[in-house]
Amino acid sequence: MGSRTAPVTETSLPDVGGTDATEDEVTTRHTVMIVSALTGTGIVSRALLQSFPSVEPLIAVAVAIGFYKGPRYGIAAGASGFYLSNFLVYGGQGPWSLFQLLGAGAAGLIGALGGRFGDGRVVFFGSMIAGVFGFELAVNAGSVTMASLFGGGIGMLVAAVPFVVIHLVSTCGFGMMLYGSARGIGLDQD
Amino acid sequence: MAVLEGSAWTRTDAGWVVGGLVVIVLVAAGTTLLDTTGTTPGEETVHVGLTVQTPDGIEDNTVGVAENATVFDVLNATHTVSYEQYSFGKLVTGIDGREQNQTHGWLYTVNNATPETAVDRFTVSSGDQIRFRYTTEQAFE
Repeated sequence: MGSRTAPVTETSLPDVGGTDATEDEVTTRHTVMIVSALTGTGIVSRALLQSFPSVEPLIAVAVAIGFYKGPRYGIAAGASGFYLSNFLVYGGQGPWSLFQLLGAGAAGLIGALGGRFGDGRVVFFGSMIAGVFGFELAVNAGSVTMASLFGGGIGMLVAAVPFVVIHLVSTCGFGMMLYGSARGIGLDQD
Repeated sequence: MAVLEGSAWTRTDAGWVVGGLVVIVLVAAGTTLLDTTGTTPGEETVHVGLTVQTPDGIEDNTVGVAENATVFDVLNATHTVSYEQYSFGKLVTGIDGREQNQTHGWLYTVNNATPETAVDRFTVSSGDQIRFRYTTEQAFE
């Protein structure tokens, strides 16, 4: 058995697999950092904005992350963002949490589907709008189901309309901020 | 498209961010018009019964409040209420100047059942019967 004359370093590894794997790891680490930072910012912002009904950034964050980083990250950001931020807002966790998680995950998935159609602003904001509707559909379906169980009515759905509109417009506002920031924070990089 | 010095940001990017911020501020300001404790035009009103019972007598009211109003909103709409804020919500300590003391305090029921939530976390429904009693049923201080 001969002794090595030089230490085996990363750069001296054969190209087959080794270098690519390292680049993938770096890319993944970078993506996880951006997704975590954006989701964390969304969680804190939702808590800070809780006195303004339906003004929250997490759906915009989930859609944008899904749009630029794919379905896995979009769904994770939306669902985990709503779950964790519920600990910081009035009302906390409850039966509604399940529908919020499903809706926010759906928004992340919708963002990812939008990202497959292109990376222009029309597709981006189209995904934002579709993401809000996906979320509201899940949450209001849950509310009506629960209200029916406890003797409520369809009037709850009508009463939700102004809040859906607010959510839609505010999410587009947060979407504008994310669209403008995407290049600067590296969100749009592969 | 001018690139801001020393960064990957462009003026167009900054414009999107500022524009988004303006939209959010305007929408947040607009939400203050949607007061969930008062009734606003077009908002459905629910009517609930409110009874306040003291050793001196019983006062019954029918109160109209906005959908999603809480028991606290109903009581506060018709009486002078004092309360203490706890992590679980508001605890009513006085109604119309009659404050809780070592022997008496305020308990409430909705439809003859005692809710396990604070008054500001119980959302009323049309036809609910709320009753506040000044009672000695438990120690209050």
